[in-house]
Amino acid sequence: MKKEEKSEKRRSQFSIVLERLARNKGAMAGLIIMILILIVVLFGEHMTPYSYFHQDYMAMFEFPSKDHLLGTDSLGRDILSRLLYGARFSLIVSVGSVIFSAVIGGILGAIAGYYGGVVDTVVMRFLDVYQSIPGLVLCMALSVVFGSGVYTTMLALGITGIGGYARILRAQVLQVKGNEYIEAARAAKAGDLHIILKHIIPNAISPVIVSMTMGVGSGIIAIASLGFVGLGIPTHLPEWGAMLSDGRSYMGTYPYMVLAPGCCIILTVLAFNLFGDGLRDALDPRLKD
Amino acid sequence: MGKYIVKRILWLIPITLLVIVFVYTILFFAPVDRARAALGMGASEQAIAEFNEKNGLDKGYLGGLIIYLKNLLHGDFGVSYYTSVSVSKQILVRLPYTVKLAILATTFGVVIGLPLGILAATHQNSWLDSLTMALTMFFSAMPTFWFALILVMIFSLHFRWLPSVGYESWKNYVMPVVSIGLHVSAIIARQARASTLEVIRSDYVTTARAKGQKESKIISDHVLRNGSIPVITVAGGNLAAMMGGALLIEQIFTIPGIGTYLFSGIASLDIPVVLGCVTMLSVFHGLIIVLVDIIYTFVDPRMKVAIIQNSAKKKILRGGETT
Repeated sequence: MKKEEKSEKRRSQFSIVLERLARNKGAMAGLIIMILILIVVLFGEHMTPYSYFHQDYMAMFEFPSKDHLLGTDSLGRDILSRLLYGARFSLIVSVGSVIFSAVIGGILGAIAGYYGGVVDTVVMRFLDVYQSIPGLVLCMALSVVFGSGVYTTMLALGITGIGGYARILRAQVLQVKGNEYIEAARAAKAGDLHIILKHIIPNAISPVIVSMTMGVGSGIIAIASLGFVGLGIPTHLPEWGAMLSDGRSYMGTYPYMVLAPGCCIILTVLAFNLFGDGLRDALDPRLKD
Repeated sequence: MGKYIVKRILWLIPITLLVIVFVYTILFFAPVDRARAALGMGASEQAIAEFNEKNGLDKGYLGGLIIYLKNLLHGDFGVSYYTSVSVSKQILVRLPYTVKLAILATTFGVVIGLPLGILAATHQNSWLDSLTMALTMFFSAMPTFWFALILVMIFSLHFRWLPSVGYESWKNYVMPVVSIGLHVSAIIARQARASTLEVIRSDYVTTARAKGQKESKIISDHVLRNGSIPVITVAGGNLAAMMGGALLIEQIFTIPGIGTYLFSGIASLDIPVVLGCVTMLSVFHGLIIVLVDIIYTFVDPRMKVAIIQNSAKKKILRGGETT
């Protein structure tokens, strides 16, 4: 018993969080799905029975069968192959855009929170502007302006997300700023940049990480929404939203064309949300039980 | 309090102006030739010059912006580049559909989500809680437009109970409202559960229980009141965002609301159309946020005290500076 207590003390915060996370069934289910999706993203090309653009005019509109597990679309392309190949667009673009918004938004929020005063007011007013335009509207406008493509979509989504991260990090920095260790660092003549990078960010980062995990999920929905109306990822690529939009015209007779891409989107978003939820509970156990 | 509200509403003016400048800048520098897009590739130089002059496109970035803001002062949102139809007229004609959809979907979300969230919290760790949480997790991960397609597939194409296009009868609104509303209710239920759990463990609830208060009264008087504040924020934010029309849902069900209009504007980079809609949106958003704050003070009088104290503190500070 005593020995256990002793080891409890010596354990790092990180390993405690990891253990709490490992005990959360939802988060672990999410993690497993995330790993599977990652494998699909990395090796999808080699796993697919057909290539994503292979058209077979003898096999158009085929219901799911042994040859085509999820059926074929209006051009005789294998839907399973397209879905597996398409995972990369949703995932890479979403993750890329989340990193972009977290870095830019984080810098803005950290500066605003740390320096306060005029800088804070300017950044906050800028965020007010952001907040009063619905995300999807801004994202669509940027996506039209930048044109379709993988990087342009990443940028459009990334810019749209800046506001949220700036707000979170600003609030966190304001909270952390008052602590004594910051004062101590300042007394030891640490520079602003050093204090922000070494002391404030590490202590303020956990809500940002949670929000990034969830952000990947909502990013995937946003990409599918763009694809559904013909924006974002170029339409010849098998992006999930664009596939939904293709299937929509035939869904009365061939419902599988709409069902399969939708299920892929839900499963992926669900995985990130479950993991993010678990991560939040693990990082901040007060919210649980 | 009144002064505070007026101040908050006046704040909307600079914010809206900034929104206009922001969106105008994004759209203005888009690499498209609007005159050629509107008049066709074979248009004569003279026709293009006329088009640019009529729409203020020959004045450059700043000139165009100043003209737009000047016209806005007179309540003129300009005309669409491509159809020459007045933007303000279009917005007024389309607004009722969007408002109807937004209010119905948000109400649906609150009516389903709030009780579910509170029930889940009061029965924490029961099967009811797990089921609610699993369902809300599922519905918040589901794209609303996909759910709308599934509803159409079942209720229009298969059973033929509900029409999938149109906007005249109440039947046209069932599927749009349900597809958005269930998503909203999932978010609200999660929020309500979290805030209810927090309230249930607070000291005043323990006190109420200790003095033998009936559980139903504790829920209605303490839990519902205090737990509903974050829910009001979520519902208000959703209502504000939906004023832009649920872009995709309006398109799927061909509802001629703001969403369809705004999307057509965005897709063709029609600056007056997008600016008109976005301006209206940002004003609505601001007003709803103020309204939410006012509702707060009714639900939780402490907020009112905080506001008054806050402004009093500022006054003292300012007084101190002058003397």
